[in-house]
Amino acid sequence: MTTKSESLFLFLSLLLAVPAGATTIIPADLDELSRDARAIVRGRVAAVDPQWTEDRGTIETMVTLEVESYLKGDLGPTLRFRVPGGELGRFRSIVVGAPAFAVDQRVVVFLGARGPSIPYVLGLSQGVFRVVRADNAAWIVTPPAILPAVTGTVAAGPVVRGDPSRRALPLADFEQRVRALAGGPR
Amino acid sequence: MFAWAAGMALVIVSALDVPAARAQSPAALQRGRFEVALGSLWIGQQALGSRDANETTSAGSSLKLFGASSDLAGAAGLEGRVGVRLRGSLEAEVEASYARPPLRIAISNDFESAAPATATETIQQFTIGAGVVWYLPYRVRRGTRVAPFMMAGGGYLRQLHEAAILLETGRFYQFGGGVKYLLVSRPTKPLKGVGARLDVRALVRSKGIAFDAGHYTSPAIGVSLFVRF
Amino acid sequence: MKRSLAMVLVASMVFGSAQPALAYLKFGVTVGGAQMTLKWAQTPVRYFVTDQGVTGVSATDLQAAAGRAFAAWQAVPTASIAYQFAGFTAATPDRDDGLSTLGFRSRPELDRVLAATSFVVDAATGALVEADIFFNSAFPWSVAPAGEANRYDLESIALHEIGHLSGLGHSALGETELREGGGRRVLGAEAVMFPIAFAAGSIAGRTLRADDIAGISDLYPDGDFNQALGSISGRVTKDGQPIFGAHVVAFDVARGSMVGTFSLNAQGDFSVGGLSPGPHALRVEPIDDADVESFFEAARTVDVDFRVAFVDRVVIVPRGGDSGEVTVKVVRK
Repeated sequence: MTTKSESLFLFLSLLLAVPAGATTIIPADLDELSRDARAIVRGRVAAVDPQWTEDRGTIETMVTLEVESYLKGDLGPTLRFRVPGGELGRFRSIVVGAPAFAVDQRVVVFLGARGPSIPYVLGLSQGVFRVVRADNAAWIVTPPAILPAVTGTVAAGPVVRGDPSRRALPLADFEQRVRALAGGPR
Repeated sequence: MFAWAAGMALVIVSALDVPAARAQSPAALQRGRFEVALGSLWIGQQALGSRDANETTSAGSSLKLFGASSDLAGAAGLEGRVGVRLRGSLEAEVEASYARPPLRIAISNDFESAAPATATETIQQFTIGAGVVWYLPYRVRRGTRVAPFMMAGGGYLRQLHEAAILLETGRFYQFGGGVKYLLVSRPTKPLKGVGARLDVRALVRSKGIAFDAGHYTSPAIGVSLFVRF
Repeated sequence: MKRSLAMVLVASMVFGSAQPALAYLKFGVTVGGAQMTLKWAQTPVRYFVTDQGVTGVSATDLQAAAGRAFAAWQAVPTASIAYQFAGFTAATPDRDDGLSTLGFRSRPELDRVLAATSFVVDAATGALVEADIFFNSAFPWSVAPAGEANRYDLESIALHEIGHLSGLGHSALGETELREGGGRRVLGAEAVMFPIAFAAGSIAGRTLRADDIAGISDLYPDGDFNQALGSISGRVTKDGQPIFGAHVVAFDVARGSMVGTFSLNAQGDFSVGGLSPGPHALRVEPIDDADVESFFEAARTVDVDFRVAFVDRVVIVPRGGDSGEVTVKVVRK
């Protein structure tokens, strides 16, 4: 029997959430996320604090964001939102598919809220975009978003992988498009 | 395909000047009992069928991701044969062949507009089999060196994928006809004759590299030199 | 009763241990510096069902639908996993209580999550202690044999989540479409483990596909799985450099089935197993349709800047072995 001589492994830090989502999701494109968000904010992760839920049944994580810019709404210069799962003491609760955050990460998050309660990320990991440096040192937003045309009309059709138009956008372009979508008609 | 092969054989025979004479094969072919032949073989393309890579839709129907059409391309090879005369116009022979036909998978109509592509690999194909040759009972001119014939046979097939990591076996059957031409006739010598053989046949294969339970047919042409003892 | 065990789960994609070929993503755990595949050490896997229903679906309906889904995975002839219904419970699936529980929960903040699976792991041994599945009662559900319009088919979603409960990650074998007026829908999927659900009313997700079967068999091989089937392994490169996160699909040209995997390390290596012997075509594509984090954490490291391509070589899967290194070269968008 001919087999590869070694096994292949890829491991991520304990501090990172599970990458392979074990959820079934209803997809939300950027248009939906932009319209449905109570707030869309770019910021730097200042703190990641796990805690027990109110009923102490499981663990959730409170993420503190130092706001750099609001693309929609205004929840103040610093805001906190909740994410399911987290590590507390000897215990770690994982909702597979929940986004993970680390201090000093720059992110754009689409937040929902019910009344005055603490906001949450829309669509689980769908509402999180990472702001990272491209090879040319410019800031870009990943993953590549499925964007409608700037006019606001969604160009229907199959999502084509490898489509040259679907690239990680420069941060300024991404924010311009989100602002246009967030303010567009339903 | 078989009609094409038979037709070619008849054209070849008709092109030869063989006015009416005795209804038998050339004398030299009768004197020699054994025949050994070696030559080349060309096997035509065998279509293996098409199969789509489908995904399931919400309604339970199919969404075609891409299409794939496969075949074994035509290829040349080597063929050897040993025959023995059974009676006046009938010979039995065993044969073996080796060829390296390419297996091709033509991929097209990708749902996401990927460029069409053709994936290939080269197969090593071995056959071993037996058959009969029947010299046509037409009236030959005295001294003619031409002998048309019909042939039929079958045998065992082995197809080895690249790097010899997978072997597939099957059977083959063949039907056709051809002509033998004596280049040298030496009735009183141990080596009775040397000649050339041309045959056209329909090659039918079952199993081996197959994507369904059917049979695959292709033309084949053999050209060989033979000696008779 | 909550087990007093440390529970640590490291998110990872593991390429098998003794068996190097993977159907696709699996979960892994680090224990004492050693990497282990997250899987059930003992079967049958015992599970409970919360004794709460929702509109149109009683707890008994939930248990029956889940039972059919469990049975589908258990019926895979090349896999050895088994499950056992242990009874109804008042506990809900979001409690870390040492019980593997399936049930409905109202999670309005998870507004686009139909269902989710969570794990509890013994940090000392790496043993999978508990896995829970919650079905979001904020959505309308159905157990009708032919499905119900505008309601999500519970059996289909349960089949997917039980795949996760068993240790399987997501499959990228599917196509989606932007809809007029916004939103995205699944056009087609050839794996129950595709992360996006079919539209409400569809029951097309009740049947395991070749990709799912290969995955569960790779995790829990039975009988002559390793001797009768084979694998394809290789490397994906772009401009001579390895790339991570490329989706590789092996298409069996004789049977018409597809099994997918990813290039899962910095060397661009991939391995796809559970394949029938014979010729295969390989298709490679980026997962750039905005759900990268359904498959990978740290999305930035996933290379999506290349075009869909086919390998120009017929790849032969041997019986009980591997194809040998296949180098896949892709080009930038």
